[in-house]
Amino acid sequence: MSDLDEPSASEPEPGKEHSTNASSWQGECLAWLRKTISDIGQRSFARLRKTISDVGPGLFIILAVEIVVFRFLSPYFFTVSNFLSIGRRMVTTGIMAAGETIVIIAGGFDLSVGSVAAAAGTGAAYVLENTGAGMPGGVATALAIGLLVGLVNGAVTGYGRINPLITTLGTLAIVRGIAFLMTNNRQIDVKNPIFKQLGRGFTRENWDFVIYYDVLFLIGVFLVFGFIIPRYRFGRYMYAIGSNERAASLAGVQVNRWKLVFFGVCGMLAGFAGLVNSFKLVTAAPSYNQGDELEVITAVILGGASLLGGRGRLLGTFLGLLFLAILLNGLVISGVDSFYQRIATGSALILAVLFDEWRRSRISRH
Amino acid sequence: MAEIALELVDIEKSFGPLEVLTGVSLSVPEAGCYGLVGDNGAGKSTLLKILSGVYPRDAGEIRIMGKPVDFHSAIDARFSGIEMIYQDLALAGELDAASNIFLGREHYRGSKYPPFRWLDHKRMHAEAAKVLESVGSRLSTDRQVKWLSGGERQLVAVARALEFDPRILLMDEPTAALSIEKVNEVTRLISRLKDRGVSMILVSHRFTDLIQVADTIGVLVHGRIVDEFEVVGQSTDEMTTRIVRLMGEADAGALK
Ligand SMILES: Nc1ncnc2c1ncn2[C@@H]1O[C@H](COP(=O)(O)OP(=O)(O)OP(=O)(O)O)[C@@H](O)[C@H]1O
Ligand SMILES: [Mg+2]
Repeated sequence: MSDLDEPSASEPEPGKEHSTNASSWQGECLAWLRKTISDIGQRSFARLRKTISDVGPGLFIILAVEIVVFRFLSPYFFTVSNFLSIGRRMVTTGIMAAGETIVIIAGGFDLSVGSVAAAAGTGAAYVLENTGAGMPGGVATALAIGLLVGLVNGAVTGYGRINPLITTLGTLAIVRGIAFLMTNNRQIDVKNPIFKQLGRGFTRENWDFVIYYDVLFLIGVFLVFGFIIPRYRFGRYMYAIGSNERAASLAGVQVNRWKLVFFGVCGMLAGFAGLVNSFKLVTAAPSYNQGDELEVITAVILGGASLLGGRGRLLGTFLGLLFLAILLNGLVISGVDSFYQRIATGSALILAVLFDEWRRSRISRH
Repeated sequence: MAEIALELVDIEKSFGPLEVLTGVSLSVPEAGCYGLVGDNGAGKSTLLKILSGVYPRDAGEIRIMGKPVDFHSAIDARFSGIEMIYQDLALAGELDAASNIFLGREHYRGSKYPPFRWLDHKRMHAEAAKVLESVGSRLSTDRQVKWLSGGERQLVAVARALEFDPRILLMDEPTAALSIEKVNEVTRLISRLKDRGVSMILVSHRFTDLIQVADTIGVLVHGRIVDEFEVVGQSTDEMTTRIVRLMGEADAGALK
């Protein structure tokens, strides 16, 4: 309590009109609240500025160039409804990418996110349609499936000392296989009204746009983890373990336990992504989200995370996602054959890694 | 004579067929400084890592203030008041200096328990600056460690160990990358730590640095302390020839 308002003692009082002159407790409460909020605001702002400078201007520039290019290639590009569809396009891979960023910063890697999303979406739809558990049951199922696979990934890479690439390549196949087995490769349509509603959005009479719930989920996930990472051990140890696992362990960090946490969170977010994806489609099938891991990892690497671990930013990942979503959307509306989408994503991935490598070698030569 | 803070009795350690330590016994009094010398690969780092809980020992006993102890991890050793500065420093390059100094025991503000307590960056940076200053460094605490020079890094590692307020400090080459000036700083620091009652084992190839601070010198050859002598009352030359002769004999013995 006392150390909450301590740092702002020297700061100018933002609103000192009539809130403090009366000795009324409401006035004092209000003043304290204002001070605290402005204090938190200022510190968050300073942190945001540092984050932006860490991410660097490169991505912002590339993004701007990309937008200008597509602006000229297609008249349809620069419309509200197209921006909305870009936003919706980012949702599933975006929620997965938040988890992937965490795992990659912590020095790991997760290829299983696409499979987990498909299995979680299908599991949720199955529970909703075949049991009386309703919406809470569906959500819990999706998150539990994600968490379970994430914990397995974390345990095998941590305690089992197996390379995460191999581990999650294995679970990628296993999880999808199980999903096919359980559903007999059937698509499950969901009739639950809340479920359907969450896949839509809301609007007002005088708005010419829709606010989609799934876009809000995406933004929510990034805000929540953007809040957690600088404030809790979670974020500190994520960077420490990715940067020097041995040093972290010698410092008393329970490295393997934290790997469970990081992979668990990543799995859970992948499960959530699968759930949100099935809200949007009002249906789920074990064959969904194939190849999503390519887009997810591309976005994370584009965002500046290092495959060696220890480096990366959620904001960077978000910009990487945006870049990729705009690229794929722009190709489609410019009338480019859809097969080029995968070629473009793959190329973006390799270019991003090349760029990262080049940047690193340039810095270390100084 | 002061009480014995740390005592090792017949410590043995092998890595597979490689016998690294074949029965090391030594003791460090309270506020004493034991200097350990030996050739590359003699087993100095291995011995210190056994003391800091990184490696289990194969045989022998470790006693702290007369009580036998058993470490299963670096945390166990830390609980017994042992802190170690590793030869490779064991720092996380991507983190800043303050985060490294407080890694594994961060300060929090807010409530006492997890969800409502968060990292107290302000306090950690302030205290990190203080402890860095105590080792003669004005390093900015938000510099990322990977961009620091070797000497600056070493000071961060020393500062980190001191922040834990150890009773026994193990230092594996703490001055290897430091300039003469900084070596003097660390030497002074070691004297101050002695005044505070901290016991130390120091490993260094810089013999001249070692005899400035150590009370006792032990020579480790082939996994055994082959010679041990007090520093007071001997000239540098005397001690140097004594050590060189021992290590030379060991090499000759190995050649036979
Ligand atoms: N984890 C390990 N596994 C196998 N062998 C090891 C291990 N650690 C050390 N050794 C071996 O044990 C021997 C002693 O190593 P140690 O690092 O203790 O030497 P040192 O005296 O510290 O040498 P230096 O002066 O070069 O630091 C070396 O031959 C080394 O190869
Ligand atoms: Mg060594």
